[in-house]
Amino acid sequence: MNNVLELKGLTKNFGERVAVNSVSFSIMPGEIFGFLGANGAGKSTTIKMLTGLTTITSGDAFICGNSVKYRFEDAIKNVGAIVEVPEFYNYLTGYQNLKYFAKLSNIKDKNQIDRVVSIVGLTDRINEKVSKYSLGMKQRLGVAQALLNSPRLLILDEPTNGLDANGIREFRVLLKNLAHKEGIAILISSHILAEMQLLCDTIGIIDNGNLIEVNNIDKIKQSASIYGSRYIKCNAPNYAGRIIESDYRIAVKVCNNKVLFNADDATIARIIIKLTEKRISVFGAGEVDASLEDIFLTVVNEGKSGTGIM
Amino acid sequence: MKKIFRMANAELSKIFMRPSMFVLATVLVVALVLSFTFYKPNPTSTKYTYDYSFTGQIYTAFENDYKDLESELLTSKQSIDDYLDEENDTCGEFKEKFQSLKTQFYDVLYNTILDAPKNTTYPSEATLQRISQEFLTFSEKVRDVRVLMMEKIKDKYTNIFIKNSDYNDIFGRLKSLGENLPTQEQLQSFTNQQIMDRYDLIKESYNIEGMNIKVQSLEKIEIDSEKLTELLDKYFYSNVIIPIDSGEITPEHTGKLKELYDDVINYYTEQGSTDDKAVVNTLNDKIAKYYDYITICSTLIKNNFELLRIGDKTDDQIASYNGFSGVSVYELNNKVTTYEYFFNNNTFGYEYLRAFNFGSNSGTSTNAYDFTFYAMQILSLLITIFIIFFACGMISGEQNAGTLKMVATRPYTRNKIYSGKFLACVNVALILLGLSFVASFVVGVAVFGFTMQNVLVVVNAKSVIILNPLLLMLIYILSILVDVVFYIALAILVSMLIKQTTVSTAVTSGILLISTIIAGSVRSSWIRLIPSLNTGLYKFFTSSITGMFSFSVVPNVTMVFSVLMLIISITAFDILGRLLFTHRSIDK
Repeated sequence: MNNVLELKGLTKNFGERVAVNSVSFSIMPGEIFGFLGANGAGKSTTIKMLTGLTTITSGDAFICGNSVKYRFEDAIKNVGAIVEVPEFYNYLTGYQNLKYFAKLSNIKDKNQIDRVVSIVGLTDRINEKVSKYSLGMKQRLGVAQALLNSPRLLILDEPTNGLDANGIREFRVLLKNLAHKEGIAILISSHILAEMQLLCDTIGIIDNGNLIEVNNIDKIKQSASIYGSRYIKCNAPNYAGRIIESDYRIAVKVCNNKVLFNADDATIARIIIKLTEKRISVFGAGEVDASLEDIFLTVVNEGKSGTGIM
Repeated sequence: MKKIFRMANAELSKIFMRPSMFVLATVLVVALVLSFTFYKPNPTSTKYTYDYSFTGQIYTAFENDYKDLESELLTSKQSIDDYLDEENDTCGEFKEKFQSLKTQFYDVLYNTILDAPKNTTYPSEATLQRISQEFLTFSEKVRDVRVLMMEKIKDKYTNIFIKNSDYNDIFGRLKSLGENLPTQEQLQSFTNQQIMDRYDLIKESYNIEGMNIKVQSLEKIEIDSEKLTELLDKYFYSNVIIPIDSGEITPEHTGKLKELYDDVINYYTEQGSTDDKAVVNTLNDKIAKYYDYITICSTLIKNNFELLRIGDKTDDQIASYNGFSGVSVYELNNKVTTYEYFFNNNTFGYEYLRAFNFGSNSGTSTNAYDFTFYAMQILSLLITIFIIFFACGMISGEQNAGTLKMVATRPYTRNKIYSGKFLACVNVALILLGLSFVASFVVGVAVFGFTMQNVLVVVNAKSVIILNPLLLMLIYILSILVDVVFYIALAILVSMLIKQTTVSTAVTSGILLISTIIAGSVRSSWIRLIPSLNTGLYKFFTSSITGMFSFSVVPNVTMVFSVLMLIISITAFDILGRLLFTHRSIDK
């Protein structure tokens, strides 16, 4: 079993409502897996099932080969988790909080606490009461407690909520380090697509409880550009697309307000003139760098209508 | 298992760093200071002593008083004699008289009225005379019965089980009946029909038949007369010889009582009149022993008789009966066991500390022992309420604050988390109770001093044990710990149902306080089915039961029953709480 995490048909029902519908995927060591979805899509519920915060209706998940359903303690001991905003005991210092968690995990090595504190960069504030911490500091302390038991898998649910741009960037650098230097697998869920794009190796898109797409991020971007590495942004992309297809015999793909296709510079220039002649307003043209947002929206919409981007 | 201890350990250190812990510590210190500032125990010295400086004065006083004390013994004996006297059958007499009353009305009077010739409107002079006479006789019988009730039944040691409500009902109706019978003057102006109508009216309004049925069905208090004679023999006749026709105790005593009496007389004769303190004290001691012995014997006679009269009725049944108000079988047994012990061991109350005397001295002067119990009562209540608060916050409170999920995502099953936190609470209680106890004891010793006098404890009203006072204190602390465990289990369960910590704390504390109130005021025996009323196991180890908060023993409860109730309810709360906790999702 090389996978650090493997989900097999994980399902959660709240009465009649199916919140998570038979989700399956896996994560390798050192891999950063981004779990993407709108609010209420089922990201948090899936993560709560993995971390034991809510019961599993059917299916199972395996962490380092241990079943979460039947061998929870063995499974979870390889995990460090932050679910939503990490909360601590405000009347204790950061250090005392970590000491409490260390006691629970039976960590006898005194240096371990100092080590994780320095990894997250909180050494100079660690002996202050948590009530005085900013949100960013709490997030970092959250990562510290997650790292205490030297986990093989980090599970983070919306961990950058409330952070400013700087905070988010620092967090990203930290996570990349942990994954690529220490070989820790990371499962991170978010609805901030820009961030995911910069951080993750693999993306899984979940919508209405269903996992509709899992793929390597480069491949996803590539697939978006199969239809073309050039784009023209205009006010009537479907009409423009038909013109390009019929007059220039080039296959196109419409994505949002962009028409994607392959062509050289000269052809692009002629196409633009043609479209303008036809009274189409052209706003821009250039190389495709499909944002994850575009992909996401497309995938989700096509997921609804039954076709996939591949 | 180890994990549970680890969790408990971590929780323990955490709890002691909470700001509310410092609040509690302050509150406890303040409470301790206030308790010894305002502690003014009532002296309860039961030693019968004379406060004179000369033995001569003491002896004269004794000569004057001893007959009164002995008459106490005589009176207790008299009530048994009355019961045994076959001619003294109040129950039989009551039933007989009532039956006769009924017969007079339904048979004699009725027939006399019927006798009146039918063809006249008015009865003849002769008939009228007879009717008047029978009404008069009836009226006299009614009065007789009422006199019997007033003089021989009301609040007396009768041999009849009659409820207060029944008594009042019958008595009242008879009174009204007596006032509504027609006089001779009235009868003279009645027609035959009117006389009959009047008779029917009385018959219907007063339902004499119904009353009679009730009276005839009243239970007689049956006591095995052998037991009574045994009682008298042991505690009375072994000490006293009474001339057949005199009602007085003459100097022809015998047995123990005579010995004690002689001891007093001889000692005084030897020593003469002096103001030597040692002699005065010794004389007083001897006199006290004499009086004590009389008290022991008369108490044993009275209480044993009472217990025999009660038979196997329960406290709440008995309370409604005439002549029995406010009785508690447990307390009677308690007293009997205690005094039996004194009787058999030639000793008396003030030679021992009394167990759990809150608010008064257990012995002849205040002692650290008394103060410790007094202070611990208050401190343990405060500790219990705070522990309830911690217990309520431990799971639901942490869930609301968001810290529970930090613990739940660690390698602990829900059950282990529950157990670990529960255990932590128990440990906190243990530590706090221990510290409070030591502090109270130290303060007590410093302010009041401490004499190592043994305590007389009656266990479950059945057996006497003489205990070292420190051992008794240990029993008390253990008993409080059991109560705290009960309330921790309850608090956690309540917090599973009511998510906000403040509300669940209020509810659980409310249950605690209401239970205390119920225990003090409601005397029905069904209340023993309420689990929280079985707390306070130490009350089965007392020889007297008084206190700032009520510690009455609930009717018809034995220690075994209470222990079982507590075990069952703690287990039930625990199982339910766990079930709720293991199946819930942890999110805000």
